Amino acid sequence: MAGETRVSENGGLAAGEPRVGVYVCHCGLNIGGTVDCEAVALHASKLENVVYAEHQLYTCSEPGQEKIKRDIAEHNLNRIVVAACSPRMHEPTFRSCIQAAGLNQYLLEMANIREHCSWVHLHDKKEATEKAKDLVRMSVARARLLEAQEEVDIPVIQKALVIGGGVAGIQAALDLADSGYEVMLVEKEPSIGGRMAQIDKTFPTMDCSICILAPKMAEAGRHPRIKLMSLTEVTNISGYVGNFSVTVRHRARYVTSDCSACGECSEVCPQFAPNEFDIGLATRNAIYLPFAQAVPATYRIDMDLCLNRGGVRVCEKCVEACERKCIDFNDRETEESFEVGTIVVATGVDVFDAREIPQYQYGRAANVITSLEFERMINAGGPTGGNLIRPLDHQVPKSVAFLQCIGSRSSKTNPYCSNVCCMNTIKDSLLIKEHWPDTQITVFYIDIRAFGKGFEDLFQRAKMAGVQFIHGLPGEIIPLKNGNLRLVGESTLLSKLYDIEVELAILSVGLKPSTGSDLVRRFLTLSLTSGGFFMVAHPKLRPVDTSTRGVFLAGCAEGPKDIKDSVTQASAAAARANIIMRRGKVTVEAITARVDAGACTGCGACIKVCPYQAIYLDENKKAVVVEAACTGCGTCGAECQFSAITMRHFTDEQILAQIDAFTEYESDKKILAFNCNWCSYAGADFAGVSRMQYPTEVRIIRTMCSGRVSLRFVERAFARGVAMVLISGCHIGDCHYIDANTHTEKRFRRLRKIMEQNGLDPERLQLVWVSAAEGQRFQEKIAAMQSKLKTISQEEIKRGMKVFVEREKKTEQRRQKREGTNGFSTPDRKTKIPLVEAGRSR
Amino acid sequence: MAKALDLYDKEEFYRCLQCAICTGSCPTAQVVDGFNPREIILRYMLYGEQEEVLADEKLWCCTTCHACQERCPHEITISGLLTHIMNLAARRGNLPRPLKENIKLMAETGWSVRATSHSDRIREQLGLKPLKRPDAAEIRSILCEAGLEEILDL
Repeated sequence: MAGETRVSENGGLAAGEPRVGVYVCHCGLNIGGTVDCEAVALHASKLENVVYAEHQLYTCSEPGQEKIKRDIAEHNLNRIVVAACSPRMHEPTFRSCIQAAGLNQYLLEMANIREHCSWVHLHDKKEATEKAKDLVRMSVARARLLEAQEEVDIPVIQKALVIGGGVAGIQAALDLADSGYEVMLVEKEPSIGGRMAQIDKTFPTMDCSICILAPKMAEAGRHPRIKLMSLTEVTNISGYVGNFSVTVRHRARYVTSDCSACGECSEVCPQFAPNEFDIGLATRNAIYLPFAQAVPATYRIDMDLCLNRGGVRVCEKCVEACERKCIDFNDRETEESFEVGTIVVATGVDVFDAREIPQYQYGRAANVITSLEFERMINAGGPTGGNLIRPLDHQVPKSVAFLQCIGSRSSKTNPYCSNVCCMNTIKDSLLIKEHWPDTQITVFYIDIRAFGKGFEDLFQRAKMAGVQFIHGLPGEIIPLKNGNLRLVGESTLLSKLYDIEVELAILSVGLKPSTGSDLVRRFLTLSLTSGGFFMVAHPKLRPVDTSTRGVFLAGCAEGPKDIKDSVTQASAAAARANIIMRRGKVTVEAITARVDAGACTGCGACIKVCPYQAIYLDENKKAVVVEAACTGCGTCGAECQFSAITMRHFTDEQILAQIDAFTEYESDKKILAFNCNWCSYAGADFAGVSRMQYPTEVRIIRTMCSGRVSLRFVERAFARGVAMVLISGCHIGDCHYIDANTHTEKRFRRLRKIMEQNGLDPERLQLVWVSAAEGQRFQEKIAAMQSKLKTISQEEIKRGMKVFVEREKKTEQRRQKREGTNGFSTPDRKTKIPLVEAGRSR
Repeated sequence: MAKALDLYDKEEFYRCLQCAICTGSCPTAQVVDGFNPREIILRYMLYGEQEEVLADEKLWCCTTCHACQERCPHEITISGLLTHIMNLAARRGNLPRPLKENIKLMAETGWSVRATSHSDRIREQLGLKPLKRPDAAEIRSILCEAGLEEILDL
């Protein structure tokens, strides 16, 4: 029964020897209903170095934790193994528990006998119990080799960089500056404001966009702690959390900051070009202010347009007009470098180019415009003074059609929903109705997504105002001679064709990542989602963090979103950055790589595979790990041919000990799986939580990244007679360590080739990418591997053992030879190969 | 019918948004009331109404112009599916009479439009050479090879 304890007094352990305590949790019936926890505890009690083992109803409960604390004192335990749920669930709980009892938190090991055992083998109690024994034995083997680790703190520079001066960037900069930090706000355009500055009204409240944005822009412009850098682009970022080195390039403005924005210069300038801010619907001069509320309110000269380009002074009109003498033709592009502790990326979006869909005639029929062009037109400060007119004849249209999802939700263009276009169109239709109530408005849509607060109300208001919504996009727009447009399509709700003539068609264009964002991505080694937007560390629980520590996302750079969500995310990003800077230091989890300088040959293989450029060669040609930049993925450790890299808390010895413990019984009938912490281990957890049943043959070893899986581990498994090995990680492109899993794939291919060359069945080694949401994929893979398992002969397994034992021996000989010639010896790195008979039964 | 599901990945059709660009682009839909490629996908692939679709003679109005497929935002093989459905329908005996006669004529004469003594006369009046009769036997064997023999009494 649960609650009974079973003590094994393993006397005679020398001082300093590991004294392991094992706690097998019933988790009520979650584990106890399937696994014989008492038998597991009994099995554990007989293992080497285990001095105490018991089974409890709920180990995570207060009494359960108290018991562990008492036992640590009473039995002088110095390693704790908890066989319970996933370490992703309760590792922090038990770490703090043993810490409270005076043990280093890294001396804890968990065996996952719930998600990876009882929940996925509900109907095979016998095999589930055997599996639980194996998992506990593997954990004890690892626990014996665990070492206390000290986490180090690194100082953080109390300054932040915000890339992008749209509403998200402005908000993040203001929040950070108001919290007391110096902020560098970088904007590539001549003014901050971004897309929000171009929009007329905001939904669902119909607030004037620039009226609510301009005060924020002004505040950012005059804030004593914000250094606003417009016409500036980031050209390089290096470093790591708390200590980023940034280089920016300031483009020449040719107008000094003394400019009072009086506009006299612009009036005399003879040169004209389409105004970018008005999407070419109006003109500007060579010397211009992008828009009235621009911040900084400083004119600039477009040198490609100015008559004085190329340094030849032929026109002095603006110089003569400027009373304050602000025009400086000698202004040059400059570079500036500075250091920051945290970075907020708010690089925003561009709009979809509607010319990519030729049947809608954008760019050919004058009266087909985009939603962004409409925003400029309907804006009182825009090129038409707020009048909606047909570009062809400048008449106010009596009928207008909106076409939704232009460039969105399509595998040909942007696969995602752009999130804001539905509500934007509804808002736009109401704006037209407000000014010209008799306009006939038809919205052609696929789905109306009015999901936010107040959105549905606005949708209803539009319908009340007489806006007609037709489900079904036109097949094409046919331009007519009088400039009108014929829209032909099907109204699916009526299963009837329509053939409608309108005077103006507005294409509701989708959003796509800003073109400049790719450079920032490379500097900061950020990942992208399938749509090309930046990926967050966790879509639910870390929605503004990136996988690069100290770098946060805000606004549409992370994905299309409306103003409210952009501002919310910006404040969240600022708050997250604030946490790091307020502490003044960051703690690095003690799982980082350590280089044994004696064994390092300076070959540089680790440097090549490190996704974070955290390793460099010092003047003695020895690899050095920058602790703060290292994330502990272990790819370097797996790549090092000379065992010179130790991955703390996931050492070769610990993992090999797990493999050796696993292979003590019947390994010829089993599958050994290596799952990465972030995706595939979580995916296997998900299979457990969802009670997806799969064969009992598999045992999982957790590594931080699949890139940690050294060929040595797999070779050891085969040398010890394991039937099949599975390596499993995040999908390519989703790796939590940027691209470390590409090395996994390479190693996998290499070993398969070796197996082939040695006449072994390469199918015994498998690779699968499993995301945290793909429990089913993991389940299917294990089922498929079990079918394969049945076809593997004992001869094949024995042949494999022979091949890989030989290889291990050769490697060992090479190592000894090298050490002999180098004069180094590393006695702690033992590679003893305990030979066991394949198929030893229990 | 099962074959259609084998040949065409059902998942491809799950991507359908019901945006109706296919029907809006279909020249046949403009003139044949009730011919609707969007509905055919919906009924045949997603609602499981294969029998009803296969029995519908309007299927044969598709000209396989591919406009639907070209404009589909998800590049769903709409005309491919329609062609396949037509093949299956033919095997079920859903082959409109005029089409049947047309094929028979092809097998007999090698032409899908009958050359009559009237047409010969007109050619003569216009000073054109008389038409050379094609090798009907060869065309018949091609048609048989294509499997039309199993459907029609050629």
